[in-house]
Amino acid sequence: MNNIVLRGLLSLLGLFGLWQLAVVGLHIPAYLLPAPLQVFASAWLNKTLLLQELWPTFLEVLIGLGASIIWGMMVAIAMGLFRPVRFWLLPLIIASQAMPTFAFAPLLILWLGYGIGSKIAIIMVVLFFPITAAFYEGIKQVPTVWLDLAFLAGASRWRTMRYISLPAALPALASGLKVAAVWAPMAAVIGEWVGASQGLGFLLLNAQTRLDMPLMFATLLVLVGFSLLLFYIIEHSLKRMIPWQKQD
Amino acid sequence: MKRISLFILLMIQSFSVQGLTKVNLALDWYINPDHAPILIAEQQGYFKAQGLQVTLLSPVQSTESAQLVATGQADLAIDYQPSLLMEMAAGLPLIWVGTLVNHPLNCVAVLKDSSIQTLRDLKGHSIGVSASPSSELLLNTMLDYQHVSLGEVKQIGMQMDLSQALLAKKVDAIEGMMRNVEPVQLQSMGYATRLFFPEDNGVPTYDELVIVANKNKVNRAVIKRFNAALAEAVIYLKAHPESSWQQIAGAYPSEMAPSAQITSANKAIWLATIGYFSANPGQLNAVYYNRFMNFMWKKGLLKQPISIEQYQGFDTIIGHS
Repeated sequence: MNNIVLRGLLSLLGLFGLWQLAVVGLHIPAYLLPAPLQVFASAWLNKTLLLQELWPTFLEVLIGLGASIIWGMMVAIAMGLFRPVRFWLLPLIIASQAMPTFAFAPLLILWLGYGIGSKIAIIMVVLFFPITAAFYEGIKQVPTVWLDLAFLAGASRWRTMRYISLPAALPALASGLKVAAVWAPMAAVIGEWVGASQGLGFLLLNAQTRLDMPLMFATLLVLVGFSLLLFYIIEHSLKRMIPWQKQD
Repeated sequence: MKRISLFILLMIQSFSVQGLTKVNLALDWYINPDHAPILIAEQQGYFKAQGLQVTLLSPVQSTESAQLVATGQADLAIDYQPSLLMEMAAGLPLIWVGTLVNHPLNCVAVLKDSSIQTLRDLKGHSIGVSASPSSELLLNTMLDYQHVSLGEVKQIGMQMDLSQALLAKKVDAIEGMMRNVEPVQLQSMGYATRLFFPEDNGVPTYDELVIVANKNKVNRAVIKRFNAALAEAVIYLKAHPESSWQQIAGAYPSEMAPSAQITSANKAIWLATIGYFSANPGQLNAVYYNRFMNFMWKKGLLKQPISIEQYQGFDTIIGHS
């Protein structure tokens, strides 16, 4: 863990160094690409604003991610248990992922309003697939020998799912959750970008419209930091929940 | 059935807060200096004095504000006159009920230090165009007026990065800027621009920002009170440009005054916009209206002409819905 943080910090530092050199050396104007020092200065100057706009985005992500996990797991289990569900739902799930969220998001906002509801719906549309697909793959790939053993022991379909397939599929679910954790803040921002008056997405839009590029990049930094934090929290808690999973 | 619905309507109205009539107004974009009279009417209590409780909705895209009114989700919306005419010709149940800005704001801009002194100099150059049919019409008319054929310029469609594309010299000119917004903002950042106006180049003058209602649900008494409050707000704005800005920056900090740079740009835009607001929001100039509507019709943007009576919703017989 410490090692990963250290490596991450070092590679970020290197990136910022190159970026600063490029902007200063090539005389890139701030409206195209602000220098990292400008961005940090803006972040410090606007720290209250950034924290204040992080809060609504944080809430949307928390609720949206939670709802996606519950919903995604339920659908994956249903698909594992019942063949008709699998048969009818799988094409729909794939179709839902083929739709460009940016085209679909404005409609969701028109249907559900400008509040938190539409943002949660957009997060669920985006996250549903990685979670459901990963978990369902995990359920599908349980070794047949285990299932045969359960069958010979006279276990019901539900008990086989509960005691054999679900635990066996947890590592697969974990990789889906990690993808979801990184995508969640981005999905929230899409929702705020197309219709909101608060949140990091709205701040991004406002800064972009008024050409405040240092603030726009500062907002992006906060967003990236939030995604990373979410990723590590999820990874850390998953390791505790699935101690038998291979460590990398 | 009609009696029952009338009864329910009266019940709803009598239950509204403090006897105020509720009005949902869909803006064309999030709150910005173009909405000054509405914001001031709210903050100064002019709406309340007229018995109105106005709720602002900020839709996703400017085209959606009109859709919200057409589908009955909002009572009023901010729209652009060229868009409104096209929406009406396409059959949306909308009518004009007021004017916020009775003047074109659209313009073509080049950087002041560029070699382009007149529109004719655009020959052989590239123009960034905001993607909307009316923008395209205005630009083509202006070029045509200056005897520049469409083949002699390169038009590039873009969404939002017009100013950046101009500054970065990715295009030589841009169309679709609002003269009270982007050029003012660029000026405040130290970049001077040269502007060309549609009304000087063959486009009849028109109302950039108008207020629309649903023709089947319009409440004329409410509209009259709404426009009266706006007129009062415009008088206040013209008398107190500076203090009205302070007031609104304080009331809407996350839209108007989040960071130092956005705040100073918005203040400059606020001061530059006040002069464009219509002093008589409820007034429609028939000569200007007919000239502009005929222009759009002849250019093929309207399927059929829209009479001034239709535009105001006075063509439908009352009781025949």
